[in-house]
This record gives sequence, structure tokens and C-alpha cells, in this order.
Amino acid sequence: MTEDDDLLAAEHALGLTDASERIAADPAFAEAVEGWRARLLPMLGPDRAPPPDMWDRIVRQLPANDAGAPDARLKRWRIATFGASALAAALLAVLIVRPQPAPLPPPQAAAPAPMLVASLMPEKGPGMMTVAYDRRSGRMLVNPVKMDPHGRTPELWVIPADGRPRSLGTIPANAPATMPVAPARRAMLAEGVTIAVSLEPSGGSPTGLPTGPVVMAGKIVAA
Amino acid sequence: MELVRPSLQPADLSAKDVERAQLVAALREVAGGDRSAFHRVYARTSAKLFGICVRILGEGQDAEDALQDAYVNVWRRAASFEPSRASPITWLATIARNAAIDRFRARGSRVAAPIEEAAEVADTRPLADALAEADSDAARLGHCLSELDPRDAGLIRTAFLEGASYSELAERRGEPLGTIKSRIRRALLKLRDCLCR
Repeated sequence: MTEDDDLLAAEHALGLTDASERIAADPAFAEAVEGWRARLLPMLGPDRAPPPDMWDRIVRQLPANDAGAPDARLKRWRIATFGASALAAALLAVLIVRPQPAPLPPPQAAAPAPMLVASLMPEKGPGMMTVAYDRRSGRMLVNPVKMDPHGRTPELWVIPADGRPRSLGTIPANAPATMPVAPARRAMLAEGVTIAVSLEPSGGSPTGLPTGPVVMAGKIVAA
Repeated sequence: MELVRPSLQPADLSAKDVERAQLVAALREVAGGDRSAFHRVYARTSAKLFGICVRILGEGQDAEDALQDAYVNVWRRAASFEPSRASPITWLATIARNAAIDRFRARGSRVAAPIEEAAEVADTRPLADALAEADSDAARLGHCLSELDPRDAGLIRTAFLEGASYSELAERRGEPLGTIKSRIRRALLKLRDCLCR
């Protein structure tokens, strides 16, 4: 990237020039524009909460392209599962654009999908959580967003076909974490199986079954 | 990140990356017409986007209308978002800025008083003051802008926050177009060097 090109990128980010065609044709130039946008972004702050009725006003203006499913529960599942696979794809996209510290190992021969993911949502109210499980390493990533544990400890459960919840361990309420899955639980993590979060006393459920309210649930899908 | 790519360490995937990935995923669902994903995008980004509208238009109805325009555009254009080319935040911020600038310019043409007067007031307002906040990126940008000739910083500000073109800036300043261009370009290079330090 020459200095002139970088200046052109800055001028585009400032709105002084329209270099859209160049952006479409030249990934390095597009990256330079993105760099300038990120640099200048703080000039557009600080954040400000919009009026509470803003969301309703926006929704009223949307073109209708979201025909509601009659079965709300089914729809919610569909959203959860589609969300989960889209999220896994996006995580991959983020990782792929990052610099790679080492060459990737050659692709493995046909095997079951190594990544399983689930998007957990509450019945109502805010918050969601993503769980990603890697069959090869036996580890999972949990990423809670805006979960309110009401001062208790969230505990993650897998509910296999027999319907009896098995604990996957306690998890943080407000930070992503990776943790190993106990070997005895690994085979239970499969497509279509439900994962849920309950709120338990500090240290986790004393009985081995959920004792507090189940605040979120979702189904596992292959990534 | 170990879960996805065994060659990466878990520490490679920060909370910021996860947040970004979630926004990317939500935007993808918005492109498919999913309103619940659209609400997730709104919940996570509306304070930033409204901040942008207020910064450009000030308090009031115009800023709210611009925010509404911005999200309707996000809904319509979500399919054109390319995560390999832009972060979701800069993409969303650009949409909000453009929506606010459109309103600003529509308003400007209605104003009876000479625009130049208002522009001069805006130009001389110190940028660093407006950026004085805890956010470290903002503090750094504020510092670097304050190191520029205040008149050059004013040009950058007027271009970015009012959508002024080179020729408008030249007219307002009463300086030749070439002078304005080289002033801005010199200032941008200085700004970049300062931010990279």
C-alpha cells in the first residue's frame, strides 16, 4: 500500500472521495479503508442510549419479509439452531481472517462433524448463550451474553434421549470460558440433544440434578 | 482457538472476537429476514449508533429519525455485509454516519442563516474536548487530533461530521482547493503516524 493509496483510503473513510469501485476490486485497499474507519470511529462517539420506544418505531418501518410461523415454539427452535450454525461459521470467519501462527494441519478424512454448537435462549427476557463443543479435543467453549444469574451459579446440563439431565459443570455467568467435558458425558453430546442452564447454589447442584430454575435451553446442531 | 482449529490456543479468541462473531452471525440471519436476530443486533449496537446520530445532528427529532433510517438500511442491506472485509461495528457505524449526514445536509439547505457562520463555530470547537472520555481509543484519537494544527483538525472534523466536500471546505475557508487538499492530506498522515506510535 503506497502512501497515496492509504491517503485515498482515508479520504474515502472521511467521505471526501468515493472509491467504492476500488474497494470492490482491491482487498488490500478495502483493508486500508477499514483501518481508517476504525481509527476515526471514536470521533463519532460517545455512545448514547436511544429512547425506549425507538425499537417499535423501527419495526413499524420495516418491509414485511418475515412471515411469522404459526408454531412459535418451533420457530424459536429454528432460530436457535440456525443461529448456532451461523455463529459457528462466523467464529470460523473471524479465525480465518486472523493471522495464523502455524500452518493448518491437512484436512481429516470424512468423519462426523467435529464441531457441535448450540444457541441457548431464555423462554422470555434478555440473555443468550452459545456452547461450542469440539469432538476431537473433548473441550467446549461457553459464551454467555447478558445472563442474569440472580446471585447464583449457572450450571450447564445435557439432556439426552432418556430425558434425565446430566451435569456438564458450572459455568461463568458473564465471560466466555473453555472447559473439558467429562469423558462419560462426551457421547451424550450429539445432534438434536438439548442443552440447558439452571441456576444453582454456589458450587453447583448438590443433588446431581437441577435444583434451581432452568433459565435457558437450546438444541445441539452440527456446525 | 483450540475448539475450532487445533493449531490455535484458546487465548487467541478474546471476548471481543466472540462479540464480533455473534454480531456477524446475527447480521447473516438478518439478511435472511429474521427479526429476532435483528433485535439482537439492535440491542447490542443501538447505543453506539444513536451516539453517532446525536454527535452529527445534536439532540432532538433529527437524531432519532436518522437512527430509524440507519436501522431500516441495516435491515435492507444486511446481505451486502462482508465479514471478511469489514468489522460489523465499522459497517454499522458507516451506515449510521451516512444516514445522519443525509439528514444534516437536508437540514442545512433549509437553514436561513448563512451556513458559513455556523460552520466556523463548529470548526473552532476543540475536538479533544469532545473526545474527552474514558475510552482509550477515543482518548488516543483525541490526543492525536490535538497535536494537529487546530485549523486542520477542524477540516477533518467538518468533512467527517458534516459530510463537507473538498470544494465546500475550500469555499468556507476562502482558500484554494489545492491548499485545502494538501492541508488535509498532510494532517491525515500526521494523524496516522501519531495513532501508530
